Amino acid sequence: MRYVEIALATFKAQLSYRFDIAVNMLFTVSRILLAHVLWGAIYAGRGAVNGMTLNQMMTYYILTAFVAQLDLSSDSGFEIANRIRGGSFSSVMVLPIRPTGFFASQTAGASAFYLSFNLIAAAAWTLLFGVRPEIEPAALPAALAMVALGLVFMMQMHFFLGILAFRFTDVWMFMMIKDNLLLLATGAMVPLFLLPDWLQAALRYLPFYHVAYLPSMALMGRLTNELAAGIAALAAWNGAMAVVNRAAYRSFRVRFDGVGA
Amino acid sequence: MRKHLSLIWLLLKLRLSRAMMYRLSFFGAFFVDGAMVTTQLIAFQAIYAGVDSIAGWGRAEALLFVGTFSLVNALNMVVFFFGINGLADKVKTGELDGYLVKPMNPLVRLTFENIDLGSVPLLLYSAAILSYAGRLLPSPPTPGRVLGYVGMALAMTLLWYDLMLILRSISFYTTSVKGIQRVEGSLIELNMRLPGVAFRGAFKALFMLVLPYGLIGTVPAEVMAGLIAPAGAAYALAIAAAFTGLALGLFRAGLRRYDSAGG
Repeated sequence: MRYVEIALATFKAQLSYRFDIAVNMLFTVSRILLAHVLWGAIYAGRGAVNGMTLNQMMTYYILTAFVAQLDLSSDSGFEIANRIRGGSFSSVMVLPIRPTGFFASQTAGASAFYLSFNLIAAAAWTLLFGVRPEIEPAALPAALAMVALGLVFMMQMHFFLGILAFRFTDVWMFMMIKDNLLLLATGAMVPLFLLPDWLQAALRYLPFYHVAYLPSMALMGRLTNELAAGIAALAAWNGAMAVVNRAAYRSFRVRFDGVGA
Repeated sequence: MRKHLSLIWLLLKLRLSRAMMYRLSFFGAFFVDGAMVTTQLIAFQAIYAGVDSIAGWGRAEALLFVGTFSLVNALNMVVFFFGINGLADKVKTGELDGYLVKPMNPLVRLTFENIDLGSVPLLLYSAAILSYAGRLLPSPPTPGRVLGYVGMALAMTLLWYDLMLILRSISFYTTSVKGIQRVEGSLIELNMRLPGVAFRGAFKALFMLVLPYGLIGTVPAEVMAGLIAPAGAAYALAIAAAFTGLALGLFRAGLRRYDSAGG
């Protein structure tokens, strides 16, 4: 219940950041615009590339951009690191709740708030770029479950990166490297089916394959046979990450001296 | 000039002594941008596995483009990025006062005070990409083309510097440029993934003239590949010169307006 209250408070607090809402909506377009120009040039004079039409490619980018915008956990990671550096993390430590739960609730509240705006943005870009979405409704429940599990995993991963600040003080480098690698590993840069087979096979073992790429492809009626395994894999990754986070937090927190609190 | 060089040398020594205190972060920019360029290379390789050319550019030209963008970015990171990037915050907090009272041109100090030698390996990485791409070109680069490439890459580094300075000089008028910096990040991301030759219509006008990020990786690559006409090269140099004038003018006008808001 306490976690729900935190999520609700964060949800309401977002109303104060109207400019951020507009910027967040606008920024979904940068990735779609890139895809539109890049793939428009590639498809010039071609009907399909790797069996995908331009319309399907654009549908893919709109779906992955939508999922990516829902994930606000990176901000949480930076907030955790900044609080540790600045000393204000002590105000989280004294709360009668788990820090992972506190930040996860905050992120969930913010993501829930942005959900409707991101839906509007996705619809707007679909119309603007003349995309006719090719969606497979039967895959929707499993894809949604996978997206939800993926968001939980991302939150846990960013919590881990954030608490590394107990150990390294400055974690911006880890965060930036992670951002660059995730662009490729989640299929946000190019659809993963374009990558060499060996790399695709390797990426399947990582959780990021299941966070945005697999649900987006499944919603387009592709790779639906991988959905059950994907949900199981994400659940397992979430379980493992929870154990790692608990152990890491217990080990790291004793280093905290609350300077600046 | 000699005075400036000795001051730049002093700033470099100060910067190095500070950077050595944070050894893990010393090569931070290299690891971050190295990961970015590597993912970019993988993405281009993946795309070119399915198609022969994008807007008339084959795999070799695309690799030249990635290598060039990486090289210009590396020069940017080594020399001026960390210095100029902080301008807006210094205006906002009034910290710029400290630059104005020193017996040194404030822009020279801002530009060179945060030289990042940890990004030097990125220059070597970029050179390796360029060398590999050069060998893939249908006609091997001549010494003249290599010389032209070096000159154009330096001009495009100056253009990047100008664009950074212009966008941060806006802080003299608006105090905060956080939103603008976010837009800048998106535009750079878009232009490092796509050669300028792929832009058409309004995008071409935007990225080749108004905010000419589209020239940065594209024009030097065209020089190396022998794909550029003299008029195209002259256009790119003229844009770099015009933006240099604009950046310096805007910075000087901003300084006149600066009222040390938080100092």
